[in-house]
Amino acid sequence: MTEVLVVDDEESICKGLRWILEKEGFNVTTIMDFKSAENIIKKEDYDIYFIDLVLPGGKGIDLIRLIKELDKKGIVIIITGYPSLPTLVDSIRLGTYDYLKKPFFQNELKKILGLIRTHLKDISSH
Amino acid sequence: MKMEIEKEILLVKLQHSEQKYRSLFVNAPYSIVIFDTTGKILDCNPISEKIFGFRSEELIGQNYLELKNYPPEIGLSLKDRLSKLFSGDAAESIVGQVTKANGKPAWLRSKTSKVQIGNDIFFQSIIQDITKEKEVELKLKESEELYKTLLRTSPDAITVGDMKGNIIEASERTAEIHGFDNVKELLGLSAFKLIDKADHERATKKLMETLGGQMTGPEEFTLLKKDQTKFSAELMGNVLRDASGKPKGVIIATRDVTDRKIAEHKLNQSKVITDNLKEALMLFEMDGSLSFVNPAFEKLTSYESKEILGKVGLELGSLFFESKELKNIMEVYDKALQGEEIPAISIYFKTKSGKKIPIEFSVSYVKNDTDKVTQILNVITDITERKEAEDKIRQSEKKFRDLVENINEVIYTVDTKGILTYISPTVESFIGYHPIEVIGHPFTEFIYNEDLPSLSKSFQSILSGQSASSEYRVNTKSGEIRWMRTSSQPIFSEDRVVGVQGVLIDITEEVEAEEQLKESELKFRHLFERSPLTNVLISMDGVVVDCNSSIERVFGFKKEEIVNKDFLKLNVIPSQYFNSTIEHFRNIVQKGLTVPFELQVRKKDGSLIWVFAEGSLVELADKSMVQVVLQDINDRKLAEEKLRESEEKYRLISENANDLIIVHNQNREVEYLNEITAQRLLGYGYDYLKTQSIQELFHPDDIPQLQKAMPEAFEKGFSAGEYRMRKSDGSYIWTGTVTRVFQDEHKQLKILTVARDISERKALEESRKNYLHDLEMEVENKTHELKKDRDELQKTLESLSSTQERLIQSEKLASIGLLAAGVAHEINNPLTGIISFAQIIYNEIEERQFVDLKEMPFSFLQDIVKEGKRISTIVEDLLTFARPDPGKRINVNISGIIRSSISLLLPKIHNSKVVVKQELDENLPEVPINSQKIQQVLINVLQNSIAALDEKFGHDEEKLKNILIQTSLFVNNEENRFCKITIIDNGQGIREENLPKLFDPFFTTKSFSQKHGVGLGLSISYGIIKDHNGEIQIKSTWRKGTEVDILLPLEKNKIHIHN
Repeated sequence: MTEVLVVDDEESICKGLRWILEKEGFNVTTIMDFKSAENIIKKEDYDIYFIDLVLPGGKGIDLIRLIKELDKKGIVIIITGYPSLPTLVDSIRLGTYDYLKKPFFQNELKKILGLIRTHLKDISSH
Repeated sequence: MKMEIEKEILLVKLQHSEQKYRSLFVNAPYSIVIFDTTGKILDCNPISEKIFGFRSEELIGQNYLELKNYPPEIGLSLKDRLSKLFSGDAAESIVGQVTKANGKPAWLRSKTSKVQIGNDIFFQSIIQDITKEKEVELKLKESEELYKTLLRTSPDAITVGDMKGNIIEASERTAEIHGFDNVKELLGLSAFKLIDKADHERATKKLMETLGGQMTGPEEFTLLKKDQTKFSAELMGNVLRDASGKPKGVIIATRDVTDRKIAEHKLNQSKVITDNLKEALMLFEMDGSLSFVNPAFEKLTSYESKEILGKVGLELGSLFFESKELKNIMEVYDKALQGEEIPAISIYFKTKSGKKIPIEFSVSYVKNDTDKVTQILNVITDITERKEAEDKIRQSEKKFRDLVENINEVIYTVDTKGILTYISPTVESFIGYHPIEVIGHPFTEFIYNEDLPSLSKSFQSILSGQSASSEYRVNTKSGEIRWMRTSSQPIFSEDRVVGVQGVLIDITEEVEAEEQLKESELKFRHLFERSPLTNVLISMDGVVVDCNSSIERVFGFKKEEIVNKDFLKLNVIPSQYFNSTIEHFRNIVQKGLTVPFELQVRKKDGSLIWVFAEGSLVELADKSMVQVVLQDINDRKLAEEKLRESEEKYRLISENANDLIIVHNQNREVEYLNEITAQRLLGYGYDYLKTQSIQELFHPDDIPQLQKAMPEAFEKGFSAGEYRMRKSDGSYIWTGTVTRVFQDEHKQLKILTVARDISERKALEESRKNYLHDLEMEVENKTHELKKDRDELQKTLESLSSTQERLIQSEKLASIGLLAAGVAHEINNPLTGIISFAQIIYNEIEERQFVDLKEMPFSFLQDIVKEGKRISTIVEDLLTFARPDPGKRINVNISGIIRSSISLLLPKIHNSKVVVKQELDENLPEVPINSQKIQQVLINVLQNSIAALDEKFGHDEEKLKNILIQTSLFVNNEENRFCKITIIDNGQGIREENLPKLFDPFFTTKSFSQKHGVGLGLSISYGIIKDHNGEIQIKSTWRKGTEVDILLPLEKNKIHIHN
């Protein structure tokens, strides 16, 4: 089962993403603040991370950095309400796979999920 | 007369006697020769003629002692005898061989006696021919010798014993088997001494039986040797009889059976021998079937005997040999059958596993007693090793022959004066001179001038007794110059040097090759050294063998610092490239792969630069090495990186720009559109845009102006305007549009249009127009008042400068950009929820027939309403914040406002278990305010306090959560009177670094779960208080608590101007 972690302080986004992703057949965990996200990332492994860049208690980019430092294998997708260029560039340098800009439409999410699926298949076939 | 008669009688008597004797003489059966003392034959009888072969007349008058018939020794012995006869000795016979006149040999026996008649002395020899007698004797002697020899040399031991058993004769074999040195030692011994005592009785019995004439077969006895050791032998006896047939002894034949026993043993061993024979044996019967193979055959061929025995030769032949070789074998058999003797042939044999081994194969025949062939024997010898040895010898021989054939030396000798005394003919091929032209000349004649001094010096040193070799040039007959090498030694004679001998080799080609090599080496060394590219040669174990000096440019190390060092230990490869570098090196070394790659290297000073590296495998002096060519590509790489960053930046900017960017070509076809922005601003993207005409995209009122814009843009290069664009939902947004015409790199005209959403600005402009109008009106009034009271104005201005910081804050508030950023973020969040939920529901409705609104995802509809409300609150706040609200100010009791604010918050206060203390001055005058707005401020501040308390203590702590609200009268330096409201809490407090940002719109320290506002609370509060010409100040200590002071002027005539 593909494990997905969604970190966003917006309840509606967590709720919506959970519905859509579970429908796609993923196992979804949602977290709404930085500290809890930090703890769960240290403890658990996920295949896909959706991370909001602005979080109560810290910055999403620091979570991505943590994921990379811990050498986690998962794919990181960032969610941003107001993309600031330096942050985007930083996250891409850290190996972020793609990003979703709020508000996003389902087709954008589906497109990204399609790419992720191919990517995961590539990895597992190696 | 008597006398005469007597004389007559006497004469007659004499005559008779003479006749008688004469008759005796003439008719004697033996030869009588009468000779005088000198040896002169006086007379001889007729028979002498027979003996000597001469007639009497021929013999008389001859010297008897010197007859041709005698061999010289007989003549001498005759003379010897005669001298003895003279001295009166008795006659003695002499036997000697003579040669008759007819040449036949004859044996004679002569007896000579002295006859004295008167004084005359005569000798008479009676000679008998004893040739026949002598021949018989000789034959007997020969025969006896023969038998003796036969006996002696008989391979059987034969012993002859007399009647007493003593050995009288024995063969050498007898001596041998009994351990005696020779036969003589045996003679006279008792034969019983040679027989073991235990067997004496049996031997005696056997002897008696034999002598008794009984024929007995061989019988085994134990015999003794000289040293008394025993051995077994078979004895067979026979009687030896004399001429009369009387037994005179016994002949014993002894056969030592030890040998036979050994032979018997050996015979038994022969099977073992065949079995252990190194050679492989195959025995074929005459019907062609294989009847026997030995273990060596099985071992050699891996065939087991049971697999092949009984099969016929032809069948086996095709199994053991290639068809071509089988043909050879058949030929050999044919020849052998015809009786030819065939030497062994070398051939390849195929073993069971198919391996071919070289063998020597020979055919021979087994014959029976009648010389008839009964079986065919094949002997197979594995000659693998021999073959290898032969090959080696052949190679060695070839090498040696090559060496000899290619030898190209001239041998010479020179005397002490340097005159050539000998030179071998090869010299002609060297320098073109025949030896005749050279010998007798000083060698210096032929030497190239420049080389003379050093060669002469070398010559002197050889003359002093040393060997030396030197290289020099010679002039050939044709005028050419050729290089020679000599190796010379002094020739010594009695410790003195008498000349020099040496060997001369033409090394011209060698020298030329060396020169070329030197030149080539120089050339390549220069190429290597001066190459603009950095070259590094690395050995297979990673050590830098060589590099050119340009290495310093790349690594900052000098060549000497790098050569002979382990490349990887130079620390020039940063860790992130370490593994890939090793991988590349391995690929080159193991697979010969040369894949160029780019990497960063660390210079000596620690800085990193980009290089392009290309390695390849090179063979140098039998060693493989890796040549790496490095190129500094740092500038290129950095430029590339910058370009990539820049490209990425512009792409991201463009894609996420708030402005709509459209590029058309000359045919008005859309070539580029930033899709995301178009979706956001207009609700549609490229696919829709390209199908629409301009008329359909813009507000009809704006079309005429728009149609002028394009020609204007082509004319002036750009055009600007403000148009309303139609959104997908049919509504319009105001855009500020700038159109530029430019040429791209392909000289194609392009039209770039940047459209900015200016709806908000348009709306703000509208409200600002109103605001400015109000302001102008007010300023007009105030100016009038100012004129009346200049000093007051002065004070007001001072007050203005004292609140400069707040004015700067006002500036910020006016900053649309900042506002927009916050708004975007705040609105996008609920918007995302709304869109997601709506789409989920939409999809779900399509899939389902039955809808239960209480179930997910239809319950999301409630979330949509909730999120919609959030947006509406934000928009309301925004409006409050952005638009000055003149409102109506009424004098009110501030305590009542405070109390009503607290009561509005009571549910929250109870829920969080906060204790709110009020210390309100009830004597305060009434304050002119917009009570609703001030209430909003108070509620906002109290909400922040409660949140700060919750954050610090959580939800279930009692008593600790305190809020104190105080009111008092406050008079400032300018004696302006204020109502001061102070709200103090012991909550979490605010970090020092956050204090200046408190009034920024959308700044918040609260997480969403706690907040109900969007971060506009304090900004709005600030705006409201400013509107009332009041002050709001926040003092806070992190983790201790926060104090908010609000000052509201009691008099209406105090104004603060801000723009």
